[in-house]
Amino acid sequence: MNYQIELLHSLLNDFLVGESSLMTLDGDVLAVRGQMPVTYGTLTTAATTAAKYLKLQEGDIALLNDPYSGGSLLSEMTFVMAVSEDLLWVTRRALDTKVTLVKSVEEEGLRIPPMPLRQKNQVNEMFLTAMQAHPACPPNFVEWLKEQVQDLSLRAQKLIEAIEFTGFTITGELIEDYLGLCKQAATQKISESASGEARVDVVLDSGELLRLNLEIHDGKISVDFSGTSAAKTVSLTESATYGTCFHAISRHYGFTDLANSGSFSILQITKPSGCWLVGKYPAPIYKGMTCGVAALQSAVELALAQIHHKQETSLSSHCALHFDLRSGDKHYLLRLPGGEAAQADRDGSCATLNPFSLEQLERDFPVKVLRVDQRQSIGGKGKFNGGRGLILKLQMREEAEATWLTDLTLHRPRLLKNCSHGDPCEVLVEHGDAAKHLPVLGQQKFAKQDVLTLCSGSGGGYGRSEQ
Amino acid sequence: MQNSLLLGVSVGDSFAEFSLLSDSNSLAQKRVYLSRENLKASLTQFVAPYKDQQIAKAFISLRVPKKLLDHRLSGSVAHVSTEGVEHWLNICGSPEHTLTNKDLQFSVRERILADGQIELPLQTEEIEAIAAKVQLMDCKKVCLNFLHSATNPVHLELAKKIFQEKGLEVFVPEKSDNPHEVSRWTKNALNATLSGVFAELKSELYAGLESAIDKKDIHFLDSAGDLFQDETQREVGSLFASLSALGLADSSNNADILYLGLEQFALISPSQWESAWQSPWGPVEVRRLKTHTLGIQPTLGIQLNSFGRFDFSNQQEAWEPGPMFLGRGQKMSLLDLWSDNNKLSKISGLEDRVSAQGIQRFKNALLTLSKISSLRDTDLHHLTKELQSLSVQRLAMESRLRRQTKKLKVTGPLAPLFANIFKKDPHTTIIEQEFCESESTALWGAQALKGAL
Repeated sequence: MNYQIELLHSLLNDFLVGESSLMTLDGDVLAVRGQMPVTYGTLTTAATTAAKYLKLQEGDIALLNDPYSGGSLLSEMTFVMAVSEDLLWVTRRALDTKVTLVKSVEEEGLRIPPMPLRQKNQVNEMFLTAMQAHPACPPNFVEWLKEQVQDLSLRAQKLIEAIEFTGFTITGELIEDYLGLCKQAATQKISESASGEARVDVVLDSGELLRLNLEIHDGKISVDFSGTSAAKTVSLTESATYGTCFHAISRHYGFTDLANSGSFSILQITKPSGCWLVGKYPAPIYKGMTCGVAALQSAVELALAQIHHKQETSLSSHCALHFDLRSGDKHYLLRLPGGEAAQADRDGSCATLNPFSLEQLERDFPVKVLRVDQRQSIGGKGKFNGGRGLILKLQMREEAEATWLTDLTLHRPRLLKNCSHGDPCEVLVEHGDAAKHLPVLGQQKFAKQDVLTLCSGSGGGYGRSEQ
Repeated sequence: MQNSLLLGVSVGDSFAEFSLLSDSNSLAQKRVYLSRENLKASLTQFVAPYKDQQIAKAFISLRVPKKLLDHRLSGSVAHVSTEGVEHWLNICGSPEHTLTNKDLQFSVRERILADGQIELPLQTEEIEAIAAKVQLMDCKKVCLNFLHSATNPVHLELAKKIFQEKGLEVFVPEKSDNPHEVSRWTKNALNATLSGVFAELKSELYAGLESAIDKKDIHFLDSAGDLFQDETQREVGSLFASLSALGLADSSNNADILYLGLEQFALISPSQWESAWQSPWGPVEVRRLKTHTLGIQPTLGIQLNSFGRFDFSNQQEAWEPGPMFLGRGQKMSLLDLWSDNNKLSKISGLEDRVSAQGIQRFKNALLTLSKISSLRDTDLHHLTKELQSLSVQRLAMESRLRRQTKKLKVTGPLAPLFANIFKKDPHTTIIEQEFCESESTALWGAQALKGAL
């Protein structure tokens, strides 16, 4: 059949659910799929690191969450499984996430460097016992891991069966052709648009500077971060930086579904060692994986908008508001995403939420939801308006504590002349008659009757509004 | 046994099929293409020869066309919610899909706390004012969603009573153990949207069967496999009724079912249930058998992919106007690849509709596209075979990846075209049962009725 490449492509789409990747033991990445930008760099690093140190045999599974070995947040577990003699499957599954504002990654939770979770069809009980004994081990973690091992094995088995059943053979030649075509398609998509270069500076609220020089030439993209400052409180890993840049670029040109070694080769990144995009152990990672990633996405988006005048777009509010509410031993992380930027021909999309239950929130926590809606934006207006952010207003019915985090509110990056900024994230507390804005990150107790207003950012507007 | 005739009816987006069974054996079957034939008239015509034989029961799975889930096509519904959360459902779905018009969203100052305590009593004047506005806007239906109304329904009941007194049709969330208000409210809102169309289709079906069977012997099936007659709020639950019937009617051998229907290809796992449907409007509370909609679908478009090679798009072209081989469609779709195959033209509902001109237009379109494709395969016969093979292999691969049990049963009107690849699998049974949706509806309906009695 001439259409083996299409069959391979659809197999990858069908098999890779959630944040996952399939690659060869030789290091060729066949595909990466996922919603999180960092996935596009971290998963392959995780697989490479695990394969290097653990010599995985068919059926073996390695576990890691260490950001410096290819993990992302510590609450997200990365599994690397050898599904056959020459194929590695990497997948990431999340546990309960908490906002942590600390000075070291070790304080953020249990950090797991690549560990053999299953070898020769046996779960590594010794390793599980050791983890369970760790004070930062999440509750029911071992049981959860055993369930994951069972599920991974079943899915891997189904993959092998599906390939065998249809008589499909993934040969080296097929992989080479597929990667070649993906590279060619990515190059072509880039070449169809303008070439050029742009420089963008984004300053985070904590003071880090992100300086990005982006150059597009002959269907290739070079990103140079020379001039980017060292970390103060925000730090991102090298693989997360790569993943975020690739994701932002491939989304812009529309080849995210071709993410693999072929399309990766169009992107070259230069980073000075010591800058906050090349974080080193034991720098904490939570803020980098949230606010740092948002800053990077904004910078790449702005640079591409500068170069492609015909597809001008304003700036989306990439930095969500993370608000972690705690009462007794319960906590709930509210994540309010921002609105999308307006484009040259349409309004930006308003933010939507991953549905959660307001009634359950009120049952579990001493809060009353006063309002949840899209916020009335002041900024982001123009011929086409930016997508609205969200507003959530809560009244405390008893004392409760919260930790929150957002960024990109103080220094607004320079936009194209046709574009305007949307509203930044805001956290406001009303105590009696007094109201005050809270800083972009913090942790504090709120008294009974306090009213908290949480607002995520809105997208930037495009063009001059017609009065 | 002339008095044990069972009628199964399955109505979908574009096709309706009827099966008349005598002691589980098929007596007569028919499929109609709803774009060209009238549902009521076809049904009357189908049952006419059996008037004297007494049809004991009729079981119907009724799927309202998905496009009618859009409130802009199904008539307006006013949404009334607790103040502060009146736009809650809007931000839980995708921005492109709204449940109602913005002008028809109202809020009322009432508040019940999580423990059921009334913090802010509902003012009847406020409800009356909203009712007046709703009537002024020529809207006849109201959907009520109040926070914590499952814990303390006093406000909900009061508001419902007032709206009903004003002559409005009122929809409230069903009582259930589901603690998640989003899926309960979305279900309520979609039920309200669909109610008018659903009622119209129901009356059409009743009218079609009027001469052959008493109304009290006509039962509708929902996705949970339960029967209903005049009960409301089953509209969304009916969307998956025929697929659930397929899984429930023969769950004896614990096999997954690969259903290859004219409108959809789906993998049903009779051993597993799902409690929600992840709809474009957000999660919807619907108990149904675990069902996976496959990537390969009968009316999937054909296009060139990013590599400039032939592939299938993610967009379904649907049956209105339908594939090119039926003569009206303008876009190539997967089934057009089989347009020369006699098995396709013999399928009930399609026979006599195949257009030679349509087939020729498809071939011309394929040839034109092949000239700009990177493989430049202008041998149409070869190209068609290759694309057929690609679709069948994709189907086989995905069903292998997604199935929950080792055993698989392949069935449906398109099984003769797509199921050959499964013949080599010892765990797979191919049942060339063309009218399995309506037959399963009748068989499961009879079982469910027996269980209920």
